[in-house]
Amino acid sequence: MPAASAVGGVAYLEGLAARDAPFRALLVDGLRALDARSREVWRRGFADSTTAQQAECMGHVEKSDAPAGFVAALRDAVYEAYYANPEVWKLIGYRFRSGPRRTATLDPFDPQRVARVRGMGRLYRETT
Amino acid sequence: MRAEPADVVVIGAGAAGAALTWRLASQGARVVCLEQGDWHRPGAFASERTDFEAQLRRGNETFSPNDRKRPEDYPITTAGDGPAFMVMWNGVGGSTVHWEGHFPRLHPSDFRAHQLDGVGADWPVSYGDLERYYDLNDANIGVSGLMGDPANPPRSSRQTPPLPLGRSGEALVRGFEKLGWHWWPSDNAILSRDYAGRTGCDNRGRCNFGCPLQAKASTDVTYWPRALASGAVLRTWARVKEISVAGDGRVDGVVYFDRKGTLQKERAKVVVVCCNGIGTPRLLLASRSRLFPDGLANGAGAVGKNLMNHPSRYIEGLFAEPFETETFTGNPFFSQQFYETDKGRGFVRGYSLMVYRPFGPVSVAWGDSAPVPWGTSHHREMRRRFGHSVGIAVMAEDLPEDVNRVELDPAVKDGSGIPAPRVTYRASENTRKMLAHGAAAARQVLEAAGAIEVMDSGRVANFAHYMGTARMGNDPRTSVVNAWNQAHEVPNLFVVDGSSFATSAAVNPTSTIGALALRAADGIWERRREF
Repeated sequence: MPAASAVGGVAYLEGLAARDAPFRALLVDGLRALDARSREVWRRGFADSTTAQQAECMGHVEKSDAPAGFVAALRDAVYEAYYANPEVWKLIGYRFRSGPRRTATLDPFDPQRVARVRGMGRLYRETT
Repeated sequence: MRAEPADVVVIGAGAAGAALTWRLASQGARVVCLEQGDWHRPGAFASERTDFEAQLRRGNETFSPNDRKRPEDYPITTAGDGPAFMVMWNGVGGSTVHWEGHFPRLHPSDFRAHQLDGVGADWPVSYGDLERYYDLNDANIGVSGLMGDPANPPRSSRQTPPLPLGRSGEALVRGFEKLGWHWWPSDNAILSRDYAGRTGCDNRGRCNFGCPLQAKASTDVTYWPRALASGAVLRTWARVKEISVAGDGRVDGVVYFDRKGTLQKERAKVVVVCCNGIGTPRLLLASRSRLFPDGLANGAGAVGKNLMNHPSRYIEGLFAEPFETETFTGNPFFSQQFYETDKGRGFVRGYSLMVYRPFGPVSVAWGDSAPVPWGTSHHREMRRRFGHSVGIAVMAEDLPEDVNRVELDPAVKDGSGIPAPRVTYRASENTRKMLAHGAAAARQVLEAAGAIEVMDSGRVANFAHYMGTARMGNDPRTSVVNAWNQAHEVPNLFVVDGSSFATSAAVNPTSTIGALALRAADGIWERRREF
């Protein structure tokens, strides 16, 4: 599976940050926290760290939840970008149909499926 | 020379307003409907976009007006232990534009909760009073389903056959069959075949995000074309400020802001409020006058009280077997095994179990009880969940309580300066016991069906069905409208929508809203000379 950054994930986050001020503020604070962690532990900025080092920083920030909700918001926004991408859909087998014309007919329902239930007798209460 | 007042002015073009307008206009009444929003073009539906799932949380098509903030929306503030999740659509078709189309009817016992179980209130109408209007409403919009359900009274032939169960539905049926419990194909306001010039469903799912096929019966594609052809007038971008009262205590029209923000008055012999269980009490409370200082039709103080919203739990199962990897129409079947009261369960009244499938891959990744983790295990876990999950929602009957209510927010106003509604809500002890029982039952089904894991966030959500806030009843001291949806205090004022429900039952309300609207229209027409 491709990385989120390879299928437009970063551009999506930038677009979201541009139109959603609270998300932008959280993202900026979160990136600062990641960078601070990286410099403290790995002696280099987050952007210059290895993937494993970046993952450690993410895990630390997620565990400390400072800034609150940052990793969850980032994770959800990345999922929002990644799994709305038709390239990814092909890889996971998701089929998206659209437009004003019918693309399939429905399988018929076999009434025999409810034969047992039909025989349960009245389950509702009669009233006056 | 001043124009003659309209015979009837209807406020709100949603489920109730559309049906009532059509019924009256088709009989010859001069009807004007005022709608604060606009038509929604099918090509603009979020369902047509690849980012449709993002609209669950953000964007101008999202379900909550508080997040959407479109010009036609008004803010809704919340208070209390469990603020209701606010969902509605303000436009032609109302929330039927975004609903899922579940179309069950109330049970006969739902109209007699107090008489049978000593709780809630009895409706001043019975199932029998509404039955022919249920049938008429079904025929007008087209319902898919199957006759013969032993949990419900016999009903007329459904217009189209049931929606298919799909592989995930078949798996859950296995569970219900193993337990020997009730289940039945749902009545859905979704055509499984072509009907009345509309195209049948192709099971592409995403119904909540708008149906470009018009297989889903939103009233902008069902009632409104017929109502307009019958001569009804629909004014969009008309935001009602208040209902005006004449010196004799009768209403004489409606004051509204037009699209340019200019105040206008539409004079009327009869006014019908169809603004949903939040918007209706808001408007009645905002319509204060010398004769009605506490709000219109609120002499008993019942307007805004007894809010019910169908609290819910959602339990999801993961299965080893592969299910569909595309979205499917939401609710193929339901169970009412625990619908009628059995006091041995520790609570009164009951609930429905409803099968649900994920919206799409983003929703699966977000997770309901827990997100798919980021990092090295992500794709492995996503493969385990995507195309392998199905869930059961518990829809509990919410009992009417004074403490759950809609009031006017003292500080927050909409863009036109009209006070926002403030919603206060908490789930009762009875409701919580019912939900816990329902969650355990759902888990039992999923396990019997062979789920390899059952996921349960424990979170109490709700179905955002707003009911009870201008309820019907025979006693003017405890209710707002009578059996014909006519205000006790104001003879030419009617309220028809979820707010007029005396109790909530444990089923989706829209088919009953439609039936009440058609019946109220007939009542107005038959007594038109009184107005």
